[in-house]
Amino acid sequence: MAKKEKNQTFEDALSRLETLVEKMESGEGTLEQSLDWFDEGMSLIKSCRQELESAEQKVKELIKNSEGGYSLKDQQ
Amino acid sequence: MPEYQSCYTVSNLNSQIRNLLEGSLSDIWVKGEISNFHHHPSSGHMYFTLKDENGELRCAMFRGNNQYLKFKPGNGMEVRLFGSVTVYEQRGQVQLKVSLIEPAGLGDLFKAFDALKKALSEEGLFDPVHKQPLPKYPKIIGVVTSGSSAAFQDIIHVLKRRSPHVEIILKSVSVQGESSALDIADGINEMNQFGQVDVIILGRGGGSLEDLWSFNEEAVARSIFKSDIPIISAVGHETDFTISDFVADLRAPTPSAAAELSSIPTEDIYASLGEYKVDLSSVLEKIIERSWVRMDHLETRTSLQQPQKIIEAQSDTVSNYYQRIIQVMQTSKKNFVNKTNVLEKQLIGLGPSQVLNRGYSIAYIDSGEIIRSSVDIEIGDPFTLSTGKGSLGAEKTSDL
Repeated sequence: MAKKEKNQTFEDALSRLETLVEKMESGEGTLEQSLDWFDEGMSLIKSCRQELESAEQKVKELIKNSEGGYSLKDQQ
Repeated sequence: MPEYQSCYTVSNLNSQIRNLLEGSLSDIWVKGEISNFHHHPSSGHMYFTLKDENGELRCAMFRGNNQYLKFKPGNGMEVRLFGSVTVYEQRGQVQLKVSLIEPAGLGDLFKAFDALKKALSEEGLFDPVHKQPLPKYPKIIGVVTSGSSAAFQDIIHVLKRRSPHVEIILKSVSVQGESSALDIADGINEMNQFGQVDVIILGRGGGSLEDLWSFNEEAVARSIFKSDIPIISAVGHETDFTISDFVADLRAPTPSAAAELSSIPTEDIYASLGEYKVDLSSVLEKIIERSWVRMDHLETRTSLQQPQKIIEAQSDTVSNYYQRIIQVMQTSKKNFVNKTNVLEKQLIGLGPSQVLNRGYSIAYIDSGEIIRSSVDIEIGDPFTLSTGKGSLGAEKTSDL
């Protein structure tokens, strides 16, 4: 079964961060690239933190509708 | 009036009865409910009565037959016995000598469990090579269980306390009774079609073997195996093992434990983010330092008149910028990124490339030495001109 596109997850963000640190450490980039990577890393950290801070536990129920699509219903 | 010569003694008759019964009622199955169960402590024999609504039968299971039982018989238990009818002659009592005992109803389940487990194992469904790793930082956790169950509440409770950033998506299914296996299998398939969850917890609270039975059915096993999303199986209590536990990517002893295994505490993610921030800053610091050192080196090495003057005039400024970058990084101010970008542009503006871009060139001979004087090379000698954008080959044609 083919995987569907997912939203950007922590998984992706944190593994990207790891890659960025590794790239910078390897010294493969120019100063300009390194600054871009740093920039990207910092904004990833910022967006992750924002997401964590704003998150309150959501519980939803998966409902299959008659057309075969899916919708989410709030629980609680 | 009957004659007396064929009169039996009690012993003879009992013996005769015994022979008749043993000849025709041996190696038979009988089922009923256990009562008056007694496991004789010194002899190790088991004595009990098997009964149904209308009758009772005395039973004995001797030590040699009962020492390797896979379950513990007890009063009220429905069982199926295999044995032979005999007579305890001293008392003229009919009894069943039991050689096998298995839970009635459950017996078939056990057999089905073993058979399916063997077949799926041979087919490779339990093979570790098929196990998917769990995501390290799941954001959305799918739960396939009964929405009204205590198991589901346990999962919510653990995640709320531990990882409040995690979103839970429930696919409520019936986890017990007729057609529940198909319902569970559909639930797993639907989670996969929906596709947005990082990991699935397949759960159910404790219960009897029959209660948990749907998790031992092939339809569930196949849908777990087919799932692209990693699945944690958490069925019953710690001591319960189901087929779904063997097929799943991870078995958790209980639904609460599954919730723990599926998620990382929110606090730990904050900590990881903090570490990445420190790493990024310290690496960038090194990179900027290295760039600065390189430029410093260039300054002492080149004898380019014009650039050197510029560099000399501005090296204090470079130093100042560098100090400021370090300072900014150490204090980790929020607007650091923007400042760094500005500083970066300024820093680049100070390099020799900018000077070359303004129309200056550097002349090299083949050995890489810079030509400092017109007499450094002879007429006809080749040399290289390095400009702001690319280098070119040249030849000395005259002294001016």
